[in-house]
Amino acid sequence: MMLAGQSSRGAPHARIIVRHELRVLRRDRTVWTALALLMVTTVYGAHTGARWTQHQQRAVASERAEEERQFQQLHAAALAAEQAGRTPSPFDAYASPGFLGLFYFRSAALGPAHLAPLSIGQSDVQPYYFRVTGERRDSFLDAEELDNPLNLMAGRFDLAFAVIYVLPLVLIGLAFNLVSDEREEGTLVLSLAQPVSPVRWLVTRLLTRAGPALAVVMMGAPLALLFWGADLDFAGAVGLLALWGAGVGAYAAIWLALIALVNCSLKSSTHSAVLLGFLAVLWIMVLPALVGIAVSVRHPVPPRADLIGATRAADTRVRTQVVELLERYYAEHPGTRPEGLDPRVYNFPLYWTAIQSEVERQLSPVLASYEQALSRQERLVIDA
Amino acid sequence: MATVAERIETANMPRRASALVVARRELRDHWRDGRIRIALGFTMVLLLSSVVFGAVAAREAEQQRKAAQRLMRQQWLDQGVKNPHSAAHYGIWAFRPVPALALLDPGIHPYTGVTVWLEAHKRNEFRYRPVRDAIMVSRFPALTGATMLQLLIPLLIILLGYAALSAERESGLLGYQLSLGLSRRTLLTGKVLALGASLTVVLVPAAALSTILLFVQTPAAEREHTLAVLAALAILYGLYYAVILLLTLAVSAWAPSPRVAILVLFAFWSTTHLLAPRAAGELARSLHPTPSAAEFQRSIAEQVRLGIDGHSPLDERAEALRRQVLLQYGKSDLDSLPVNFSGLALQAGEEYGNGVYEEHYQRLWSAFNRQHVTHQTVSLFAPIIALRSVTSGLAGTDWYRQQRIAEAAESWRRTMVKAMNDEVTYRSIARAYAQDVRGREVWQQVSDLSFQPEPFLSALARQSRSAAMLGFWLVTSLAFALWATTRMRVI
Repeated sequence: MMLAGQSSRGAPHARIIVRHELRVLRRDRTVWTALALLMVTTVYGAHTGARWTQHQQRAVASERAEEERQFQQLHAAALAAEQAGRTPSPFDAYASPGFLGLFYFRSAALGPAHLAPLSIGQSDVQPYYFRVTGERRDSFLDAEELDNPLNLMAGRFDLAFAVIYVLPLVLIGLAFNLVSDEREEGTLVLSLAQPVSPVRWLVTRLLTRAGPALAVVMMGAPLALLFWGADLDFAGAVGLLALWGAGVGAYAAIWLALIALVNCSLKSSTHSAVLLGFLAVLWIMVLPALVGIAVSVRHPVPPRADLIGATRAADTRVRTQVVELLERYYAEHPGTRPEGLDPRVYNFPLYWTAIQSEVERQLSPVLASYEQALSRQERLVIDA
Repeated sequence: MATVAERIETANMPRRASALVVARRELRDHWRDGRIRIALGFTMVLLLSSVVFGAVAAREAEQQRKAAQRLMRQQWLDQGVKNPHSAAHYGIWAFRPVPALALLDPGIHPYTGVTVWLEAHKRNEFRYRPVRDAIMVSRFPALTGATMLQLLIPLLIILLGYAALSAERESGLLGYQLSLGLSRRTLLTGKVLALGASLTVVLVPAAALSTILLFVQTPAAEREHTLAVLAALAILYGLYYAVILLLTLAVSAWAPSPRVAILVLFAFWSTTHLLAPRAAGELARSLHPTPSAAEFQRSIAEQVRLGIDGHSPLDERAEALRRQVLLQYGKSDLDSLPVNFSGLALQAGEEYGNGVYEEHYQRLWSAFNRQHVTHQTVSLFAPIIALRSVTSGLAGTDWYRQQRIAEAAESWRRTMVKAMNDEVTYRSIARAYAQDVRGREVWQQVSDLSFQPEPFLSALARQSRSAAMLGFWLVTSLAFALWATTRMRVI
């Protein structure tokens, strides 16, 4: 770094440092390889995210279309019966709200959010649409999406992966020898003798090296998402993307600080590379795994077998109390008592609803225990 | 650093003895390097912890499964007096077994449902994937024996070996050793022996602990099988580590400096161990897409609707069945039949449904199997994919085993439903549904559901393709190591 003869003001020095650094970077094949890798993972990550949200949108739209189709069919059946002057039976769904609720569904869906293509997260294992019927209130528990478990185990190649795993490794590849190289080549003393503070010299060089990588991710990701057909045309898109960019920047800043610290502490480039590689594995693999164990030990989620056992036990128990349940219902809803008929046969939907409501009431503490355990785990991670 | 006496000694020794001297010196360097001591100790602690956590998790999961399965059986027996078809609707929930070897390799278990409801008319999917009952942090690699052995140990090998030859060239020691008559191949052998010995120090305590825990947790009848699998796993991991070790030494010989060597090796590890498996998953999804759960169920429902649903005696197909049965028994009306027609109609509807489910599941699983072929193809570039396939296959936690469990559960469901329908058909005590009831004496005739483990040799034979892929990598890495060492620059 030859800065002799330059003004002692900060800005021109910064420009010179940046220019020198960029020149060095341009001639380094490792840099181009690392940036190409980051570019490929960013573009492919955007592709994966965009494709996944499109898959989700198609699945939701298809369910809504199915919902519409069944009601059109029902409407046609009702019209045909009316035109034929046929008296509907108690089991005809168009004439019985109870049977309508049992045999027809309304679709409840949580479509992907605007920026969902940025991170698939848990959306590939959590249900995002389910059918609401009178058959069972907890139908969402069964609504798991089909996917090959081997693919799920491999993990998603999305933008979150590119940012969390690949970006730190690329930053390490670009800057692991920032100071140690100069120390090894004997130019460190010369550089530090220039009329610029060591901190400014280090930070400017570090940012110059990180700049292209951050540009690839922060600018490449939105562009790639647009290219792959993600819908970014919504109010507040720029603000949200800027917020995401700030998050990525903050994450990168932590790594850059670590890289700077290691660079200043170790003498050899090789040792810097080894230590940074070790720290990367520690931070992005070992620590999250340890956190995962800690939260599951501290707030274990009960086994689902408990829920199944409790549901069946409650169902069996409640069926023996159905007469009392119906009596209570009739007392609370005057005028609903069927006259002279077995209520279980001629008012099956009511009979069924009474059972399911009571089962649900008895199970609510069991159901809540799963949510509570997961919420506590989340809180523990956030607090930590 | 080698002493002068050692160098002279090396030059005059036969090749095997020279290799041992090289190995001894390398080991001494490892021991003297505090960073390597820390890395070895850290990895050993993590590995032992993962085995203990894995053992606790596998033991708990299996105990919970057994308790749940007992409860399901009891609930089935205690379901009360009802029509057999109502009992078939009640069904049972079957829980997937957790093999003892899941303590080392849980495989796909976190990503497949733990239980399935076996009931009349419907073939359900396994539900409640453990990963669904976990927070986002669970999507990072978990601290399991497999993660340690497949991801971190290769990294440790890289750390131990990246400088093995490149640093000696940089320091001038390489030329000095070769000038004493030490052959390049002997040097490579010595380095391999030294790295292997360091690795053994880390792996042996974990292997011993795993063996003890497995011995304790496995029923006596299955111990032989478990120990055979453990031995096979030891050989396969040994093969894999040999691949990584040879590649590391090859890069160390080829690279102009230790710095370049460590960068190349880190890049190799990141690409093959982190990027490639995920890329394989996405590629598999793109090449062989699977339908959404809604599309899958809708397609089944549409096809089932085309046939007899068992509950609609006025259905056109039920009418055809009615005519056929009357003809077969030579009767004119259903009441005079010696059997209950409702049971026959239910079973006919069931069998039609079974055919529809069979076709759909064959199609779905065929797509999954093609996706597996995609993964295996990518293992040409990333041997860890082949290794994962073999180890989870032997541990009994892979997709193939899950398929067999699903098939066994489905077979039990069909048998149970048929037994209930036969009860209605052939042993009916009243024609009215509500009066044609049975109790515990009939429910207990239905056998309990159990899953048999896959024989060791069958599991091993099934992994021949992945094992061959590992063999290919071993040959390639050995050739690369020999080539790089032979052409290695001395200065």
